[in-house]
Order: sequence, then structure tokens, then C-alpha cells
Amino acid sequence: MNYFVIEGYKDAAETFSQECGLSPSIDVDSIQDRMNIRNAIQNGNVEEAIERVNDLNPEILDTNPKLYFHLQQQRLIEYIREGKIAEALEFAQDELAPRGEENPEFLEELERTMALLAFDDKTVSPVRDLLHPSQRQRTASELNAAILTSQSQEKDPKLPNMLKMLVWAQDELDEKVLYPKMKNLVTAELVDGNNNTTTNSGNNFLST
Amino acid sequence: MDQEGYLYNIALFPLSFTFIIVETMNSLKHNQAVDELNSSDPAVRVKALRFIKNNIIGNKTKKDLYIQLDVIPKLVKFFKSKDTTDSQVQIQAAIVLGSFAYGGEENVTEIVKHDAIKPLLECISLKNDPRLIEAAARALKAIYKCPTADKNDIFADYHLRDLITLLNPDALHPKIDRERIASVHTAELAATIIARCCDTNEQQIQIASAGAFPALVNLLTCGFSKAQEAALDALAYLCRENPEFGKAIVETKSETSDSPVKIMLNLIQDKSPTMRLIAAKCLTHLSRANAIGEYSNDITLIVLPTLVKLLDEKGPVREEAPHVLAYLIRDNEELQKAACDSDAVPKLADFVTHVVDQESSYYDPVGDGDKLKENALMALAAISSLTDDGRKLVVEAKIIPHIVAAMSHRSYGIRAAACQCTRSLSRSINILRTSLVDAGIATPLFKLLSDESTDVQTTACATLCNLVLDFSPMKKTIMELGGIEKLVELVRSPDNTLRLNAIWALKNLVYQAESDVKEAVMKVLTYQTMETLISDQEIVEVQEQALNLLRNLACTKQIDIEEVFQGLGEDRLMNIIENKLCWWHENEEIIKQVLFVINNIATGNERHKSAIMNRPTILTRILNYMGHTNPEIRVIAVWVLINLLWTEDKSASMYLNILNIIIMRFLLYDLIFFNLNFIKAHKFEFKNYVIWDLKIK
Repeated sequence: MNYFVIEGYKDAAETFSQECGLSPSIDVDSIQDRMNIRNAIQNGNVEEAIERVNDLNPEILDTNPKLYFHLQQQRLIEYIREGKIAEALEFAQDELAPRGEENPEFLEELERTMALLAFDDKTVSPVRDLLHPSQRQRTASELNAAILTSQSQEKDPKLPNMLKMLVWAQDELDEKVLYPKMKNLVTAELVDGNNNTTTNSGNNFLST
Repeated sequence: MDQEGYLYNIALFPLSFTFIIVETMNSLKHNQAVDELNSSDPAVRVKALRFIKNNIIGNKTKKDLYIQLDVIPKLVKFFKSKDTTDSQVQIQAAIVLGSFAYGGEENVTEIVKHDAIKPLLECISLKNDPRLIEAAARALKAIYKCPTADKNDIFADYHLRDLITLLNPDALHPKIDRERIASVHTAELAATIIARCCDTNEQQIQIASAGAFPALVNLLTCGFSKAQEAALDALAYLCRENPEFGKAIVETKSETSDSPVKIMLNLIQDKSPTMRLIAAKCLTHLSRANAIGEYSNDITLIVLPTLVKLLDEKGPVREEAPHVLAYLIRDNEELQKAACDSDAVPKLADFVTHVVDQESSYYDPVGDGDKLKENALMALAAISSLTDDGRKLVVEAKIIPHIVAAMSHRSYGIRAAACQCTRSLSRSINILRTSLVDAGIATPLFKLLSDESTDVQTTACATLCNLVLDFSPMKKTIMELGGIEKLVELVRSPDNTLRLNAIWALKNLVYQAESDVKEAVMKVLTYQTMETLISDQEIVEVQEQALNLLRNLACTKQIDIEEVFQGLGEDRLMNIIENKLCWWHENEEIIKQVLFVINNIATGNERHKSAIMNRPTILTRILNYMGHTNPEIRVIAVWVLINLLWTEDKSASMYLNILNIIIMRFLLYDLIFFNLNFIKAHKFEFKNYVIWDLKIK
């Protein structure tokens, strides 16, 4: 549930909640808010994302200069991606140059982004990674994390870490003792020391 | 790479052409938005407000632009309207004002100038739309973050009562989850506002009277970390230097009936570093206010180690941790020893030696390098203030050269902190004579006596007190640099602490000094000025130090005593003494110093002794003080008599016999019941006179 909530899978969280009788720790509507914002960025609509997050909590961007810069940077990237070079230049001059003045630490990233304009054929540009969908993903995650923090929530889901700990613990135990081991993380089936599947796999929640 | 750079320059070339066109187009948009604020249609106004809001949030340049367009008075006007259909307008206007407040001190000044605070305070009244309350609270929080904002309005009318009520998330009757979250957020904002508005004791009292403690303690257990942090912060500032309130907070019952200290000891182990820091700060303030009682072990075992570990974090947490640590261990030898045992010193030393002086950037997202350095130096000064172990550790960390360099830093806070560090280190005579001399600290320190900041001057002066004592190799250097003239100049300062430190330094300078040094000092200071200081109107500590100066001047050699008689005149001198003995009998420190002065005079020649003997009032007083409750005073009074009676003149025998008998009685009594060390410590000031040699003629 923690994973669904943090990563913003609202429908999954709702269904899961109904099936297990677990209530999500947080209001499901706020998951929708975050989902909308994440989707806006994934679709290249950064301006909408900014408006939504300002409606949600106007302090977030006022207290996170790095995040704000990355959002502006993303807007520039979108202009360039759509080939709107004139708007891109206008935007760079109007919005990004002042960020660089206010904060010299951003200058390096700013210059990298401006370098996108230097190449007509973007596919050979050394900074082409900025046009990759993973860049949108990165910006969206940064914004999501900031929203979660402002709502007093954790920004890292517990599930990946728990799985890592499980694998590590099993590796440690392997050398020392026989025990019911979870060989398949997808089915969560427990296999006992004699390689017999135990019948009472209590965490088999994926089956209906 | 070069080729890329070349192409990059080409791409930017058209920029200059579009620039002019762009400028005009953009300012049209913004002017239009400001004009639309005057529209009679609320929907148009809301749209314009949202346009402005989305432009200024996060954007300092746009904030400045809109302020230039004079938008703030228009916003404030929206709150003057009684029309409740304007609530959406008011909400957006409050949000916009709040965002302006994040733009720095000048922006806040503008906002305050246009009387925005009172209307915003009206908005947090509970009869309003909860969203308006939240928006206004948010704006007030941002405004009060600025230290120069006037905080008086909040204490008028029912605003405090409203704030305290808002600390309870149920006060706004939230029905659905989304409303509950907003309520908790409002509670968080209210707590933060309270934290920022209790600078003075007066303000602490008013906030406490409005019922802040139970509300804040309950907020500690609400489960929402940001709100809990805000509550901790508020409690920390409410009990700062306030033992009564510290005790009150510790005894407040929470809803879960856990003691607040236990709750805080729980929160200090939270996974969020910010929470751990604020919990540590709150517990530190409680401990300093002597309210921590049965949990005092936890301060050493939990709070101190937590603060030391927080030095490994990044950003604002790392920056504030040394500040809290310094405050925690100040004046506490046991805690300083514990800090020495931890690895605090190497970490703090690292901050001093490796933090790069960066150009100050507007938002300072990685934390302020200057503040970190200053706080680290203060923490090091605290660790080395009471124990030699601490001082040794600091010296071994090889930061003395950096301390010397810090004395010419652009930040006055760092300069003052460097002085504090030096002062702590100079308390070890060994370190003073070796490491500090080797580092050549006298000259840069002396320069700071002329610093533009009074704080720096005061701290440098306090440090100098230790460096001008007779065993200090730096005394000569400082005098050669013009130390006497400078100190005399500072002794005339209207600033009380600076004046006190200056006279203290002069007193130390003449302590056990050669006659020519004493003469040199008094030539510049003049006896007239010293007399004025002895009757200083502002603070009595200056009088004490001035008397101490007089005592040191008249010490040991007869020519020195004679010099004082010449300089001040016998009558004036005796008048001062008589005046102090008669009118200041409640101030034990003053009496002690005056008695020392008399005693030193009494070790002089016949003329000096007669000066005292010819004043029956003075003699009577001395005899009275031989029966004072304070044993120190009794002993000095007795020594006065011993010295008065030690004479080569055989003719005064009968008078002397009687007095001798009185003395013997008192002396024996005191010797048996009072610590001999005190007498031993002052032996050098009296005639070299072993008690058993008391000659009874």
C-alpha cells in the first residue's frame, strides 16, 4: 500500500484497499492530485504542472529553488523539442537567465540546456539525454518527492528496500542454516530446506 | 568541445534581436494583469491574481517586477472590503502576498509598509473560510520569518487566541481527509508563527498566558512530522532562558498522558534529521532552563551524541547543529568533557578549515558557508572554554592559523567567533605562551579593537584581557601597538559591555606591573576618568573593575602608593573610599575591592597609614566588616588592621596592643573555620608577614 500511495497508483491503491480491508494511510484524493501533476509533466505540459502544484501548496516552489529551476529547465526543453526555437530563446532570456543570476550553481546546468539549441540535428548533440523521456521522469519524480515531503510523508517507498534486505538476509543465511526460502519474489512461494514447497505460504496475497 | 562552444555562441546571436521585442511584449502582459485587478468582475480579478501568483512563485525577478508595478497596495485593498463573495479573491491575494514575502527582506519591508499585517491577522479568525485562514497564516509565517518585521500587532485583539485555537486541527471541524490535511497544515503554520514571535520575555509571557503549552504539547503527538517539528520549535523558543516556562512545559499533560520530555526523547530518534535537530534544540533549551530534572542523564547520553552525529548531515541541519551544541555545553564542564570524548572537535575543525568561502547566492540552497563556519567556531570556543583537555584538542586540530585568518573575514559573525575561540584557548597559560604567540595572534586581535562592529570590538576586548596579564609574552607587543591608548578610548564607549571589558583589560594590564607601566596607563587614562568609572552610573560591574584597577595601582611598592596619592590627592582618595564603604555596603564585591584598596594603602609608609587612621568613619567601618557574614570580607578587614599596625614606630604601642588583641581573636577564629587558601592566594598583596610573627608590643 505504501508503494502504491507514494508512487501515485491511485486505482491500484483503491482496489488493494477494498480487497484487503487496509485503509490507505493517506487521503486517496491527494494521490489523484499528485498523479495529475506527474502526468502533466510526462506529457510535456510543465506549465500546467506548475499551476497545479501552486494550487496544491504555493510554498513548495518558493522554498525549493533547485526544483523550480528544474521545472523551468524542463519547459525550455519542451519548447526545443517542439521546434519552437523563437519561444525557446524568449523563454531562456526571460526566465532562465535570471535563475542563473540569482544562483550561480545553476549556471552549469543552464549552459548544458542551452547547448541543445546549438545543434539542428538533436540526435548527435552531446546533451541529447535531455530530450529523453527519462529526463521528464526525473523532473516529475523530483516534484512528486517535494509534494510528499510538504505533506509530512516519506518520499521513498519502503518496498524496494525491503526486498533488497530480504535478498541480502537470505544470502547471509544460506551459508549457515536450512530455512524456508523465498526463491521466487514474484510468486512469493516459500521453499523449505528440502526443496519442498510449503503449503501454508501466508504471504500469497497475489492470488485471489 | 571548442566546436560546440562556437556553435553555442552562434545560436545565441539572434537572442539580442528578439530581446527588445520580447521585453515590450512581456511587460504588456504583466501591466495588463495588474490593471485587471481593478475590474469590477470578481472572476476577472481572480484570473489576474492567479496569473500573477503563477508568475511570482519561485521567481525573484518577477516578484521585484510586480512590486515595481505597485501591486501590493492593490492586494491589501481587497482585504478592506467587507464583501464576502470576494473570498476567492482574498484567498488568492493572501497567497500572492505570502509569495512576495519569500522574496527577501526588502519585499517584506514593502509589504509591512503598506499595512498588510493587520488585515491578514483578521483573516485568521475562525469565522472565516478555512482556506482563507490557511492562506493568511501562510503569508504571516513568511512575513515573520524576516527578523525586522514588526511583531506587535499579533498581540492585539484576539489574534493570539485565534492562533492558539488553530493549533488544534479539529478546531476547523474537518470532515473529509483533504480538509483534515489542510487543518493540520494550518496548525503547523500557527505553531511556526508562534515560534517566530517569542523573541522577548514579554512576548513569551503573553503567548503562554493565551494557553499555548497544552495545545503545542498535543500537537507533538499528532503524527504529522512537519506539524510536530513546528510544535517543537515553538516550545523551544517559549522556554528559552525561561526556567519558569521550562518547568511548566515539562509538567504539561498531553492527551496521551506521556510526559512531554519523553515524547521529545522519542522524536529525537526519528529518521528525519530535521526532526532530530529540532527535538535536540528543544531539549537543549529545556536543559539550559534547568527544567530537565530527572532526564538530565539523557542530555549527556542522547542529546549530545545526536547533535554530534548531525554534523555529518548536509545543508541547514549541518549548519545549525553546531549552534545548538555550543549553547548546550556552554558553562557546563561535564558536557564539555563528554563533547571532547566524542569526535566533535575533528568534525568542527573540518568545517573551519575546508568550507570554501563562496559568493553569496540569493537562495543559498546548499546552506550558508559563512554561517556554518561561524557556528563551528563558536562550538569549538564552547568546547574549549572550561577544560584544558578541550583546549588541547582544539590546538591539536591545527586550526589556529585558520582562526587568525578568520579575524579578517568579511563576516563580522566569523570575526567575533574567532575571538571567542582565542579567548577560550588563552585560558590555558601554556597555550597562551606557546601556540598563540607562535601564531602571532596579538596583532590581528588588536586590529579588531577598531572593528566596525561593536560586537567584535567587545569580544576582542574580552579576549585581550587574558593576553595583557603579566606572564603573557604578548603584553609588550600590545602596548607597543598602542594598546593603552586604544583601551582608554574604548573605556569611554557608551556601550556597557565594551566599557566593562576595556576597564577589565586595563586592570589586568597594571596587575603586578612595573611602575613605569602603571605610570604610562594613568597618564593616558587620568585619575579623573578613573574616578568617574568608580562611580559609573550604568553598571556596577564597571565600578568594581575600576576599584580593582585602583587596587592594582596601589599594590606592592610604596612609590606606587605614593603615585596614587599624588595623582588623586589624599582627600579625594579617602573620600572615594569612605563613600563606597558607607553607601555600598550591600554590594559585597564592591566592599571587597575597597577593602583591598585600603589594605594596599596600609602597606605603605606612615603617611599612607595615617591617611587612613585619620578617618574615624573608615576605621569604624573596617571594624564592622570584621564581623561580616562573608568570611572573605572578614579576612580582608583583618588584614587591613594587621598592615595598619605593622610599624617601626615604637611610640604607638598602647593603642597597638589593644588592637592587636582584637585582631588575634578574630584571626584565630577565622583561621580555624575558614579556608586558608584564600589568605594564601592574596599573600603577595600584603606585607610579607607570617601570621605567627604578629608582634605584640
